[in-house]
Amino acid sequence: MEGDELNLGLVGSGGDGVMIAGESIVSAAAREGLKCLMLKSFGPQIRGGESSCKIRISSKKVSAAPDTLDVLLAFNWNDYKRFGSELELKPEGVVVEEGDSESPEPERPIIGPQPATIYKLPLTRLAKETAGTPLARNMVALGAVSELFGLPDKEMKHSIKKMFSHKSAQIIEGNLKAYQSGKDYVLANFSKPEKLQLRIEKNLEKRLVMTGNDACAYAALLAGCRFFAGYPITPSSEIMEWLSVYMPAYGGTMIQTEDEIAALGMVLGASLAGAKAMTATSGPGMSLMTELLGLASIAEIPCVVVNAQRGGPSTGIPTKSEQSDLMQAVFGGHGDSPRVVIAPADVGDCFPVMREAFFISEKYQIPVIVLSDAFIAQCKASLHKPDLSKIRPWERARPHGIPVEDYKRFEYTPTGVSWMAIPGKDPYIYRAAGIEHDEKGNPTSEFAEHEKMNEKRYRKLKFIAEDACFMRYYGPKEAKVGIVTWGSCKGPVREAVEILNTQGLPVRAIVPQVLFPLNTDKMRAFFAGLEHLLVVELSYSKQFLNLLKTQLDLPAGTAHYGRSGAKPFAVSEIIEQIRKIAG
Amino acid sequence: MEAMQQAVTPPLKATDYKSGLKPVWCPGCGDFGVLNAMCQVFQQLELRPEETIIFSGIGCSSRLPGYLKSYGFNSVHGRVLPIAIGAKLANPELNVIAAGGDGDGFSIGIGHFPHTCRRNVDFTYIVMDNNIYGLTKGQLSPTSPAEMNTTTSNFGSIETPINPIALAVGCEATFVARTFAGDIKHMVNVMALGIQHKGFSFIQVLSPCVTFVGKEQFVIIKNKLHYLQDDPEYDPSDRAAAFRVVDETDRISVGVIYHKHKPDYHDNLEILRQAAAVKGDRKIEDLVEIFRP
Repeated sequence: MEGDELNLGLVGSGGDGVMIAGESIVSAAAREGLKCLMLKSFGPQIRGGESSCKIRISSKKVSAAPDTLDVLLAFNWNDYKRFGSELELKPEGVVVEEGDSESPEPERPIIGPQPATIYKLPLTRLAKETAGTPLARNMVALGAVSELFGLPDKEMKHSIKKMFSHKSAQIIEGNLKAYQSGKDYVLANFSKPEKLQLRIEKNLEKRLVMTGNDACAYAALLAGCRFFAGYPITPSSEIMEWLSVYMPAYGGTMIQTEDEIAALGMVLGASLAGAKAMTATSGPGMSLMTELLGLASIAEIPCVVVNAQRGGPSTGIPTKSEQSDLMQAVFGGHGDSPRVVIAPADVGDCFPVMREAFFISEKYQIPVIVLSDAFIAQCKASLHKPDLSKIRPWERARPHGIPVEDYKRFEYTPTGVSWMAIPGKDPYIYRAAGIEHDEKGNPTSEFAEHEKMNEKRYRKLKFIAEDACFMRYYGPKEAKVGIVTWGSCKGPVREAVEILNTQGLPVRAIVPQVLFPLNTDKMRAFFAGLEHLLVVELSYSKQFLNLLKTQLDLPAGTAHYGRSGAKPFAVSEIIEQIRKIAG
Repeated sequence: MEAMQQAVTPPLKATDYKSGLKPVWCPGCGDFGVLNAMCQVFQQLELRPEETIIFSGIGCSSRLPGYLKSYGFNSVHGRVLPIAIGAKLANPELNVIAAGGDGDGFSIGIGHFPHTCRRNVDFTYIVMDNNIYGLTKGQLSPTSPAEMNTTTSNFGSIETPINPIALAVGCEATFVARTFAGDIKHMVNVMALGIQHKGFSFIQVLSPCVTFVGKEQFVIIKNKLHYLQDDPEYDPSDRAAAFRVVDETDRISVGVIYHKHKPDYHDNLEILRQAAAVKGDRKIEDLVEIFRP
């Protein structure tokens, strides 16, 4: 256990209640004001398969999933095999498992360091005795873990009650008894591991718990979005599920479509009619939306598309994260079709990113892709209450004060943005089209018009790069070693930078969030004074590196570290790569 | 809208609904008749151009929005239905009309058709069916009759054509009608009923392609027409009767084939919103509290 944090891993089969146990811990930690992050991992079965989660709790900052574990709670060692490489113990790590002094030693297929201590508890027996059902063994285990490692007892009980609040009083009571029996068993049989006690600062402000998908959905509602159309796909479906409750609750529309093409089609129709509209999907759905994204570009229709990236191509690895849809987001589609690509870097970051997405798309009448990923989308994090006052809606520029016959929907303007009339609300009728058109919207196939219209549509990007640029910086300005990364890689990179700086190697990092159009001046300013630069990404084919190269010259000797997704970067992995280039 | 309300709004003539843009259609094309009929219907129903929007996909007939004076959107091939639905749901006050051809609607875009029928969103979909791909110069269409020779079926089509009316009735569309581009009066009557229908209305217009199928089609169709309004036995609320019409080979029945009263999508959505309202009983900013564990 390094300093003030505790890293737990839970693994079991369906019915073991791994996720309920994990979420109870996260909720309790958040109520205690602790920073916390939970990463879920599932086998391929729809229900009843093996599942695991990793939880990191700290009173200090938490940016990345735990590399290695202090505690592994194994309900079932067979299930562990599926996740072995994801659930490695630290050298001082311990195991909590089912069993008692008389049961035979199970085979433990542990990869890496073997456990320093093994705590065996008769989880099933205690669950049956207290709650009357073996299903409560996760609660017994929670009690044991809580007592062994010093989790906040009062908040744990609160979480359990809340977790089962929709069940009968009898069931809640049974679960609490099971929890208590785990605690009592530990008190009677073990001494607490001194080195593995969660240190809790008192009187921290209570925190919220949400996933990136929750945050994207809620932020959209806050930004004034009142129309959502979508098609279910892992790992973004929760955005649609959340909005299916809260969109109609606030007078909006959430519609599940027949496919992703229809989803973006409805969004464009709704936006044309004046609504702030969005859809959410993942890689395969994004591919289907590609043609309509071009339509949004040429017809200059605001829209927001969230892509929670997963391992690809094709079906790929639906439940795991990867950063391999970047090129598709920026360049996917036929024709010269400008769009904006923004990436959140963590769960809380989804708030400003969604705000910015709607702001840009409405102000510049351009499609905006929010490139989230499975890690951010599915990760449950404890957050400080976001500053909601920063979410400012932007009202589209509509024609006014001119004769109706003078109105040009696609008028050439200095910024490339023209007034957009709203059918049924403005008398300025016009015709939009996917066909190339003149300023009035009439079809044309002339070179000169096409060239001018392309120039108009691309002109917006210059202004967006200035207007909507936001970047994250970490580390001291004078550092000679620099890192560029994006999206959820921010977590491990940020921690690596912090650790290396405390170890005497000055390193700084930049995380551009508007990836296209990139503010190249700010990038160049960051490069100034660097002796080494490393580009970090979760893509086998170096998509981020290649994208950067299309927008600016990278310093000579720029190094790259990238690999396939399906496993987030470990902080130690990034540290090793930085040390390698820094000599 | 204020400007619109203040402005004097004199009644429009049918010709006022034409944009003035010259259609790209071949002389004698059935689509001219459809355009004229639509202008007459708009005039008859007093649809204000600024409150009306015509959506289309891609194809000869999908050029239509350009020729009408109203809001319009000539979108991409096959996607007219979801785009029209999005607009109508975003602003239920809008008069929404979708138009297109048989390739647009029943080949590339057919996946959207059953879902549009079952959703019953209140708008009208007019398909100008000419049994051929005209814009791309004469390839096989999903409604081309079996054995038809085209540039891509040089030995005669070996596929069974789609029957749009059967499809619409089968997919629970609440208003299904067929009309003929050679009979303006009939088109105007059927379109007026379709637009006034509360819910999704589907109108198939037999609109011959004089270039790639032949102008004799006008005569062939005209000679086979059977006007349902003249048939006292025909009951458009009888679904079984509608299915008998779709199987006719010796004649072509035109008129309202099937008609059913049912709450439309928006009615159901309003009920759903009321049910959901308990979840929205606070300011959106305060909703953040639901994330408190």
